[in-house]
Amino acid sequence: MNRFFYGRLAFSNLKKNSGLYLPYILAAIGVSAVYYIMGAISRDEGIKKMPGSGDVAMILGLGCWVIAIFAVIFLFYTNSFLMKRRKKEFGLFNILGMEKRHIGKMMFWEMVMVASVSIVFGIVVGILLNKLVVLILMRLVDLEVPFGFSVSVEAIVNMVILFGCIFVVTLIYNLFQVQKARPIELLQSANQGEKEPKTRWILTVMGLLFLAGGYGIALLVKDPISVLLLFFLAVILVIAGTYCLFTAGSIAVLKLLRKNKNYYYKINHFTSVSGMIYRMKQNAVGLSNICILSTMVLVMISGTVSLYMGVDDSMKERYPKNINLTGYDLTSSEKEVMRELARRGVSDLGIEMEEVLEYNSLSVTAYKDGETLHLGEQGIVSKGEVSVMQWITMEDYEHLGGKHTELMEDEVLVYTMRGDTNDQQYHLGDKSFRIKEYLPELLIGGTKAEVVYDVYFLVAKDETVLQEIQKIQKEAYKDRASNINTLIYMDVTGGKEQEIACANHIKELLEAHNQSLPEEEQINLRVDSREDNKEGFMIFCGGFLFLGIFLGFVFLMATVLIIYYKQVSEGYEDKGRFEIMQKVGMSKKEVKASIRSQVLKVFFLPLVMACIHLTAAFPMVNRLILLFGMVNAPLFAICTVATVGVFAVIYAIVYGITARSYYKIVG
Amino acid sequence: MAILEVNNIKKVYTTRFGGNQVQALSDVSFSVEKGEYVAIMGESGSGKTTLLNILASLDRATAGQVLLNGKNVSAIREGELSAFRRQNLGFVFQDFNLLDTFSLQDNIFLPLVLAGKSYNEMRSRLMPIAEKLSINEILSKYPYEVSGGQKQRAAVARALITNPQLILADEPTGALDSKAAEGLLSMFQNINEEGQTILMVTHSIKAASCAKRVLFIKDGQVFHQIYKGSSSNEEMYQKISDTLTVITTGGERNE
Repeated sequence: MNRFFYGRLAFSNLKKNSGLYLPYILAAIGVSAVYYIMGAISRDEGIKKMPGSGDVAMILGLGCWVIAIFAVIFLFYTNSFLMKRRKKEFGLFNILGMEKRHIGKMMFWEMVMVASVSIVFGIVVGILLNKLVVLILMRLVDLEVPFGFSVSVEAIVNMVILFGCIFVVTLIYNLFQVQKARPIELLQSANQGEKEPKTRWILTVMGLLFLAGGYGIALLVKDPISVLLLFFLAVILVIAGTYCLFTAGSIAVLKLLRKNKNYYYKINHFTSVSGMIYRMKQNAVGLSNICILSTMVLVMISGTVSLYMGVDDSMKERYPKNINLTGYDLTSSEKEVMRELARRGVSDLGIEMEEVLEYNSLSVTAYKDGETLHLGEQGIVSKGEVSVMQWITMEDYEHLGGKHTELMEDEVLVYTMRGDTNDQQYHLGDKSFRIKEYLPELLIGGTKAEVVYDVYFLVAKDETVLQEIQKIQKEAYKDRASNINTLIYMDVTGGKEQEIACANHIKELLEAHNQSLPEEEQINLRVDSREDNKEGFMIFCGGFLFLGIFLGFVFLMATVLIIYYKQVSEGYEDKGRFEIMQKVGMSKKEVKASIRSQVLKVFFLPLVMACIHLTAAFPMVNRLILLFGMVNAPLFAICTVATVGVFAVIYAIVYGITARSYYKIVG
Repeated sequence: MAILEVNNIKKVYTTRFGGNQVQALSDVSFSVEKGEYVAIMGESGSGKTTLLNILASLDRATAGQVLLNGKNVSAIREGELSAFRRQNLGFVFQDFNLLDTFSLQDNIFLPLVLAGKSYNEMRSRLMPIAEKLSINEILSKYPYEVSGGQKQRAAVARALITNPQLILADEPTGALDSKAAEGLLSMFQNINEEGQTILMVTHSIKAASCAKRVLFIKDGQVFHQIYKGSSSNEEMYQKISDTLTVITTGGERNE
């Protein structure tokens, strides 16, 4: 026999099944290219040199792993579609006299062809797209684009190894499948699974409980630190709940519908309900996959987009003015030096201060239990919620533009964004403070930046009160106690460069001042410029956005492919049913309408479910991105809605395209 | 009065690119009276199935006309065809054509649901039929759970439940074992005795011998027909068998 017989046979098989294999190969090329790009970028020399590259490299490294895991699951999953469709063919070969060994050889050659085409094209596409992706990444993080066209050999080797392994394991799995099946089973396997699914109430209830648990965590957990910890628990619960509900819940609901005779025996419901029961059994896992992938895409993209869009907002929150000076525990003469440094730093550069805010504040972390504030270490004090009490004096409050209020020593004005506003007084150690008034707003910025804990701003009579509180605090926290900080916020004229230069100049002046002094007399001062920090933050957010879009794109691709395979494999199965219904007296139009409504329901169910998940996840994700300093909730809402809109449109387009190939098969 | 009239039906299949023309039916004419039980016999490729498809309005004839109750089937518009089919014709197929997503009961209900009948009406119509076909025990079962004979009985019930003018059966015993086939045939005879008109296409002599009249098709034409008259099934079997021998051997033996 010709040496190349099996190779040629394999090639003609692939050609005959191109409708099935083309999408598979394209997907493999896509995933491998994406994996290469991720690997190449995380090793890119240009990126390693840029500021904050540590963050980006970390984020991209994470992305590499996600894509690797995804590639394994995804290629395996799509392979199972292929096998299901092709078993009949293998059975035929077997019956026509090919031994399993020969079929194995043929499958081996097929896999060699698929794998080599996928990997080679994956590398080519990866290298070509890499440049484009680097351009996008650089644009996102607002950095200059390095020239050149780089190829990372290391990334190629990594990718070839990973995908080689995936293909080898897939082949072994397929061979095993064929090996253990009898030819008659192979022949009939395409028509298997006709049994009606059972109603599994336990699984349904479990699904509901899981989902309720996941949603509960997302909606009820307010403490951002717990959010971070519980987020993954919530995600796992929701994933488990989704699987249970799609597999068991859908069937339970449909069967209930079927029991309702008046509902069920209607022309519109009759075929669709029974058809759905049948479809859900085969598609539940696929649909939950789509649902979960869609949710991930939506959460990731909406979260990262709003994080990115909100960079300016969050920087403004964190740094109320262009240049911010924070002095720690300064004496009044040192405060004067601080002011002088700021003045000189500005005037030396020939620019001017525009708006200056100056105030002193003492920040005390306490466990607030009703009206009592406990001081102490975590673990010792277990009652109450962690709250940050920011004390400022009436004098400073007036400086900031607040209205003067006559205060007694044991009276305070309180402003809080998220904390309680119904207390009458606070007990702190042996002292009590009566709350004279709740303020509607505070005139300093940065009130939203502290997101982890509840924050209270308390205006006290004068600095003596602040010092007394600090004394109480020092007793409780010893040397971990915080100090009375002096803050100077100022806007300066000029652009970005001047701001950064001015901040740097102030730092230089500070160093010069401190150099001449012994350590105890040095001024402990911190200088920040918003622009300087923004750059780093931008790289961080841009990196995340990049990852979000990138992974979102990959998941979207997976969703598209799963939808496509579902449509195609269902098309073959529906063909027979379609014909029977016509013979029994359904018109072509009715059959088409019935099938369309079923297919529509089945395919848009995951999208609807994903939107519900997203809605439930919204508060939690909102709190999570708060941790990254994104404080603009409406912006996040807009980003989310926009993401859902774009996603739905893409989803609908994909559905339309694949539905066409479906009708071609059925009709 | 003739319930079905077939006048000079001709069917020519043209291959896709218009090259070869294949004549499946050249000139078929016959009529079926109300209450008749007619079997159409012929070898594979003689045009039996084509004829049945045309009668069922699933396919259109190239020339000629089919009249059902005096109404020209080929003149019915595409949109009304399936409703017409539903109201006037009942089908029994060789491979049952039950939907595996429905229980037997729902399969039987399908044409009634399409006609918009209420559940109670469907139920009251089903009961006597199910009794007659002795499938009332298995109505809630699914097609894959029952035997071939039971499936075919359910299919017959589906054909009967609309009270059709005419039942068209395409090789109804083709996929059944001999016992189930016998059961089905006696059932057909019973139904026919109650007044149901049946037209069956088959190449089983056994099946045809139950009919009151047998038409033989050869080379796209009605070649011959025999009436059962008062003969028993066994005598009819012999007649048909002789006729088939004549047809296949060209009638030499009788000369």
